[in-house]
Parts: sequence; structure tokens; C-alpha cells
Amino acid sequence: MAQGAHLLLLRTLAVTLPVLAGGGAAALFLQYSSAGGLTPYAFISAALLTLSTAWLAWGAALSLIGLWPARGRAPSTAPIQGKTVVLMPVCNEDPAPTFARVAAMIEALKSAPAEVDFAILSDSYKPEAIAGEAFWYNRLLAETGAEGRLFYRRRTKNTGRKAGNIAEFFRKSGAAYDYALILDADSLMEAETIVEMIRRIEADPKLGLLQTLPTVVRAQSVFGRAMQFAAAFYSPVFARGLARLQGTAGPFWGHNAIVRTRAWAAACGLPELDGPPPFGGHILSHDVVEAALLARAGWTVRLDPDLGGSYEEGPESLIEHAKRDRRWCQGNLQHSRIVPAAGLLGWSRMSLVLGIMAYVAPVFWAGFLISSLLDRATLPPPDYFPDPHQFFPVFPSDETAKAIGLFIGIIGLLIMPKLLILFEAALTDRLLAFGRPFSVTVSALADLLLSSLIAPILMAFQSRSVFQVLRGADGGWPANRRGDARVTVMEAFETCHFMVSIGLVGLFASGYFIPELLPWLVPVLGPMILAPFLIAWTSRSAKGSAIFATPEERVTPHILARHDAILADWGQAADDAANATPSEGRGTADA
Amino acid sequence: MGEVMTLQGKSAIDLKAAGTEIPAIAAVPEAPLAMPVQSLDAGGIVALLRGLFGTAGRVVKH
Repeated sequence: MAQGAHLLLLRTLAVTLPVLAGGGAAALFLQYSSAGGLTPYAFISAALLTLSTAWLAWGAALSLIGLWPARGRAPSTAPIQGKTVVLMPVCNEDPAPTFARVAAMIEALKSAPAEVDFAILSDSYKPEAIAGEAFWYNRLLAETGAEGRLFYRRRTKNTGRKAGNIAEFFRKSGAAYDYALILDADSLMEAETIVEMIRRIEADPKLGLLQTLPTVVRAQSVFGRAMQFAAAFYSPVFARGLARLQGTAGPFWGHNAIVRTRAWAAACGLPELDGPPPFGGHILSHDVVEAALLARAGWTVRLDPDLGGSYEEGPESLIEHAKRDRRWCQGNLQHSRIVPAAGLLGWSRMSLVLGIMAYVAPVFWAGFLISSLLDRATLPPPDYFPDPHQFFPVFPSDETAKAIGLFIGIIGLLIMPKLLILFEAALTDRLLAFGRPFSVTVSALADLLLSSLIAPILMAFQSRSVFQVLRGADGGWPANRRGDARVTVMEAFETCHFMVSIGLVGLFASGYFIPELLPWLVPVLGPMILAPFLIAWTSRSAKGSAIFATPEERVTPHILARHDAILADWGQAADDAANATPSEGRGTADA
Repeated sequence: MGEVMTLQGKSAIDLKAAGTEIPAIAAVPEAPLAMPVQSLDAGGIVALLRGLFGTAGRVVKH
């Protein structure tokens, strides 16, 4: 089959499944509701259920499309002609671990058949961070001997944040390089991966951006390790599905990707949107927009999920996750201004809409729950004698089977992809890299249980974020906190007391007005009420447990081991530097 | 780069760090590349609809 027809078929399949699932769910729901009489709330519920189910089905479609293994690309050995710069944007990061990452990559690339420079692009404004960066830059320079290949520059005004930081480098130095590998402050990449990426982008003159699938590493808490396991175990399949649908308009996730400098410079100058934040001002979630702009200019943007050796770190607690989500929520909702931009490819628009849906879908679920409760609560009492002359009562038809069918269908959409991926991992031996089959199965079940427990908490956080953005509240750019994951119950309560209140009110109100629905609501309201305990418990250390083990925990990748060794070598000095840098306000430039 | 920082009550290594200058060799290469600001103006139909609904003023600043 021609490549274009194949892509069209897959995209049609990916879109058809959500449409059918959403439509089917709404039809079942309306049939169930009609038994007692249809209220306006039933129609609102059906509309919200259609969208929510379609969103779930989209995830299921991605996993189905990505399920079968991809043929690996043969690694190229062609000599590399172009010159590459590795860009590491930082903003008030702890400098020792950040600069140790650069040291590890410089060392790994020492004998690589490619000319690669490094540029640390600082947006730091805290005196301690600035001083630390100067100190560690000099040490890094002295230890690596990378004079003339290792650069550092700091902006005094961080216009446009990370996107502006990188754009400033391109405007000043872009012509010195053919390719730029964009990292985050917590990124680490193997030398072989970097060289292979350079070869791939050099081999395809139409390729403007090549994205890797970063693997989350170094998590230690229950929450962090659960997320790390889920990312390592399930994401490759979802990413493969995404890659099969991408055509020339693939994703860019802001880091661990290589770009062609002249393509980037020509296509990715971001404008400032008119009006104040959250919908105006600088484009916050710039990466999706940059990918769309490259594709609009005729460049290929491609995700190659087969490229390993690409690492990042993730949030260690639900609170850190929610803080990051707040930023991403604002950035993605801002994309509603960009979806109609002239000339964008259809799939780029689809990516922007999907990004918006990721944050709006939880609001739809919450809306569905509320309107369904109102529907049940406002139902008129059954009329057993609609005809005054009838002798026998007319009982409403029992449509419970449809409600159960709907419930099973939705749960199936949630669980089926994970179950299929578990089978895929077992059949392809991928599973063995995660540990013994029994441990991996327990990890998968524990992930299912934990994700079910925290789903209502995330729904509450995300719904609040969406409402904050819609009423015009700018979340700013709160810094991430790396390490120091442990959260007390009181700290958690300060962050999530709103959902505890909502949960309690919901529980008592439904218990009073519609007690028959209480068992259906406990799985949602229970975790919301217990959120402070769940947040605190999941922030506990779970280091070394066989549950949620990942291949990178079992066999430390070379570049991570070198990073550890360099940090240990810098030990005394690193500790001193860490003491000099208060943990509060340590942040990343972006993700 | 290399500006004077104030670090009060810090350890010896902090003071050393505070006194550290970024050397000239750190400067990124001077090789400018034009990076024009892109337009994200809405396309034809959407612009028309916005005009009909009175929101045509929502344009992108350059």
C-alpha cells in the first residue's frame, strides 16, 4: 500500500474509534436514562459523556495502532559533515547536577565521529544560582578541557522564557551550526544516541526536527516510581502509535530533540499573542507550536521512538505534578488562539486540539458526574397509572443492564490498552527487562490500582486549573522542585483542601438525595476526601523496591552512571554548592 | 556576565563562587542567523467568522 494511503487508513481508524465509542456511550446512556423519563440534564450528560469517552477511546486507538513492533532502522555509519551544538537552557537550577550532566555528555562524546559544541543558556536571576553557575562552569571547563567548545551565556532579562532563551541563541550564534540538540536542565543523552540523531537528520534533508522518546529516570517516591514505571512500560507503545500517525507533522516535546538550525530559524520565530495572560502574551507551551510552524514551512517533524538513550526526570509528588500540570494547562488552553492559524497542517491542528482536550476532558468527566446526579435527583416520581382508566400499573422498563454495559465499556477503554501492552511486553520479551514476570504483573496491577485512586485527585486539580485559566488567572511560571519529594499530610491538605470539601459535600448530598447512587460515587469521592493522605503516602520513598522497577533501575545506563560518578567526584564541592543554593525556587527553564 | 553578586554569610566555596568570573572564552560564537517572527493570524474562513462575530480585532502582535 502506498505510504499516503496507509497513513490515511490509520488516521481514519484512529478517529473512527473515538467517534463510534463516544456515540455508542451516549446512545446507551440515553436509553438508560429514558426509562425514568428524560430531563435536560440527561442530554447535557450524554453530550459530556460523548466527548469524555471519545477522549478515552483516542488513547485506546493509539495503543492499538502502536501495539505491533516496529522494524528498527539500520544504524548509519556515514561520515558526519555538519556541526552540532547541544543547548542546555537553565533557570535557577541546582548547578552541580546540571553541569555534571554536561560533563558526562562531553566526556561520552570525546571520541565521537562528530563535531559537537555545548552551550549552557542561563536565564537564572537568583544571585546564588548565578554564582554557582559561574563556579561550576569554570570547574567544568578546567576538567573537560573543552575550551572553545563549551559556552555559557546568561540573559539578564528572560523574555519569552525557554523559547526566548533558545531563540536568542539562534539569532546570535545559529549560523555557526547545522544542527542544535535542545535539552532541558534535567536531560541526559547517550553519545551513541546523539550521534545517531545527527546522522538521521543529516541523511534526510527535509527533516527539520527529530524527537526522541525520553525515558523518565531517578524517581524515588511511590508516586514518582509509579509514573516512571508507567512511562517506561506503556509509553513506547503509545509513542509508536503516535509515530505511525504523524506523517510529516510529528510532535515536539520541548527537549531531547535535534533541529536543523536554518529550518528552525526560518520557521520558529514565535510571535507574542495580543492581550494579557493567560490567553495572550508569550506562548507558554511553545513546543507544539514550533512543531506546527516547522511543518507549515514544509519541514518534516518526526518522532523516532526507536531511539533509546534519552533520559529526563519527572515530578516526585502529586503536588509537583499538579504544579507542572497547571503550567501545561495554561499553555495548552492558550493554543485555542493558535488552532485556526493560517496554513497549519490538519494534523498539527489536531495535535493542538488534542493538547487542549488533555486538560478539558477531566472537566467533561466532572461535568458528566454532576449533571448525571442532577438528572437522577430531579427525576419526577414514576407514574404507574399514566392512563386514569387503566386497571394494571405500568412499571418503567429496567435499563440497568445498559448502565452496567456502559460502565464495563468505559472501564474496558481504560484497562484494555494497558492489558494489551502487558501481553505485547510478554510476547516480545520486553517484559523481562523490567524484572521477573510475577513482579512486572504485580507492578502493572499496582499501577492500575494507584492510577484509579489518584485519577479523581488529578481530575480535581486539572478542573481547578482549567477554571482558573478560564477566569483569566495567570499561573505564572512556578518553579519545579527537584528532589525533596516528601510531603506531610498537612502540606498536602493546604494544597488540596478544596477537593476534600467538595468530596465531603458531594458525599453527604448524594447520600441524602440519591442514596441508591452512593456506591457508584464512592470510587470518585473517596479518593478526593482522602487526598491529603494519598498525596503524603505516595510521596514516601520507595527506592529499591521490585514493584515499579524499570530497566534503567536494574541496569544503570552508561551516561547515568557517569553522571553519578562525576557528581560523586565533585562530592564535597557539590555539597557545599547545594548548601549555598536554597532548595526553594530551584526550577527548570521549562518542562 | 561576570557581574558582582552579594552572598552574605555563605561558606568559603560560595565566596569563591561569588568571586568567580565567567571567562571571555565562554562567549557564544558570533554567527547571527535571521529568525523572523512568524504570523499566527487565523485563516480566511475563521477570520471571516471572527469578523461576523465582532472579534476581528484579535490579531497577533508582531
